[in-house]
Amino acid sequence: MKAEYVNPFLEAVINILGEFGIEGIKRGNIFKKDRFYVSMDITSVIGLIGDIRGNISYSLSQETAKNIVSAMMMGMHIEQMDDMARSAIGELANMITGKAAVLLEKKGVDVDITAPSVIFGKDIYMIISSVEAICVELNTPFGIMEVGIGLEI
Amino acid sequence: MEVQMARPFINSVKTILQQMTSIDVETEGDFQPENNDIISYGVTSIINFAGKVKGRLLLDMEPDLAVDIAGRLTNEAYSSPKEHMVLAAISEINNIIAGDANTFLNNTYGLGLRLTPPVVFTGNKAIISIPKIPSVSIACRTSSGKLKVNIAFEGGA
Repeated sequence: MKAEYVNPFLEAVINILGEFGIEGIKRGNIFKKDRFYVSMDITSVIGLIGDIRGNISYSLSQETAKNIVSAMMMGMHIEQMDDMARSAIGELANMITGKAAVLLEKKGVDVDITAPSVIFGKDIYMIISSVEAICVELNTPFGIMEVGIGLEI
Repeated sequence: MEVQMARPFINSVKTILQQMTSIDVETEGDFQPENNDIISYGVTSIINFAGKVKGRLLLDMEPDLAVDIAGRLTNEAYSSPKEHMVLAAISEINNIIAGDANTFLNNTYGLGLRLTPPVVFTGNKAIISIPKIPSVSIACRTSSGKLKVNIAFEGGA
């Protein structure tokens, strides 16, 4: 059903993290959820409007986030997830989703992406679309990134 | 940002909640710039829109209010904001409110705004930030709890 729309997002994660020197990303578990429980500390959500409508969520633990932000900032040590670090995570989500939008455009699917919202908190129960979202665990060298793809097509 | 672009949203919040749930929303003061991260009261729903401008509506409320809204919409009784139906109901009411406000903005200013699906979540002391985009918030209260309405516009509204 949605595999052709899911892959651009996963490819985009691998591509964008690769630009920061983060390699060796592997797909882990995939599951379908309408309401999902996020045990990670940070989630960034971006909306899509256009030929397809939906939301994409990227969830990470603080540790994973700090390491990824450090890679984005050329190895700068990140002590805590302050404003600057949260902004960087929002920007990461923006870059990944923007890249996915470019990949979708090549398939003739035009979408516009919205600004990211970054949610910082624990034990989050979240719904990102009115249809079931596909949640993919990506294993990075710094820990797991969970990507939630909720598309209404 | 222009507060007059934000007013249709609080008008829609009041109208839609009154019409669909009979809950009266009273505002406390006027819109204030929201410079800090938003500390959630308990249940938050976010909906983005895009057209000639891009923006976001965020509704944040205490758990009791979320449970009350969901109960009145569906004629059921819920005990926790974590229940699927409560989250789905808040998501849907946000959708209706944003749609109503967007219709007004589209008719008045010709902005051609379309909505994303809503995102809704509840958590433990969640903090929400929308990096680098200015927003305004208005504090509200109802008989079942507090509500904050936050509107952000990017790209020179």
